[in-house]
Amino acid sequence: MGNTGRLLRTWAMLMSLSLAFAIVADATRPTRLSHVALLLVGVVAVLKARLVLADYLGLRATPTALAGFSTAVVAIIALVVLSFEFPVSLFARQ
Amino acid sequence: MRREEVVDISTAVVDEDGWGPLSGLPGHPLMWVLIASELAVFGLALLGYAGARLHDPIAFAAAQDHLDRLAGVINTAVLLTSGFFAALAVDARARGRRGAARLRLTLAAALGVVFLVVKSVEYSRDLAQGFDIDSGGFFTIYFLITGFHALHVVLGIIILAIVLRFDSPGNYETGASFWHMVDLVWIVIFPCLYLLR
Repeated sequence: MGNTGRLLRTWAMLMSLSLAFAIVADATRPTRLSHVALLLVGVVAVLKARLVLADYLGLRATPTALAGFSTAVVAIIALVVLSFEFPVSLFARQ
Repeated sequence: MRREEVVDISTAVVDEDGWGPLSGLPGHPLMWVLIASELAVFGLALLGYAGARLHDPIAFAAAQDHLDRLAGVINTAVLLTSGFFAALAVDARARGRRGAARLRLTLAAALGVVFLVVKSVEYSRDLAQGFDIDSGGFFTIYFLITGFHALHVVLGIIILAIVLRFDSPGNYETGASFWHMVDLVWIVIFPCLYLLR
């Protein structure tokens, strides 16, 4: 029952974080995201990914692998989020 | 006098299975090679998206407004719940409860079909509005990334069906690992394509 309870808790947390995503999506539709909202979306995505890695994929028992895969996910999301902070004028086509 | 240390390489470097550190991971080690490869492919695709967006952010934002975010949120919930059932199935099979494991894995696969149905509805709406893979940079990348992911969902459902036929505990772990990878990739794709702007 312990493992089932942990998986249920993980699922509930993932669904709660997804609901937070839905609220952000609805509230920010017509406008560009603020710096804080960009960061929030990135952090929530990383938290969800880490929960899947640790509990669904079972990497909690192998901390090195968990750290490695988590770092890869953080790097991908961080680079995409940071690209929204670049001055667009540097890249826009003339 | 210098003392020579003798190291048995066969036991110090490679474990008896020959998979090194991958042996400690759940399921077959080759599945983890595949998971790492898939993460790299989707990661590079998303970085390509980020780079392309920098060249034309206004057009990308305008195109992104046409996406059905509610469908994306629903599909996120569907995949996460599917992953939950897959994890429960692995747990049940490890405890020797084959019937419960089969039922849970079947539910996981069924939710995978629900994901594909929602995605198909979303695609059909995009196409009805006149947006296809040739409708500018955003939609080209959007259809490529989400289409490639949907293909992985189809492959995942096939793998889960094979696991239901050959239902050893190890096969459950391996099949579920692939399924969770599909879940993980969607968790990264969804905010990048649908939410960030």
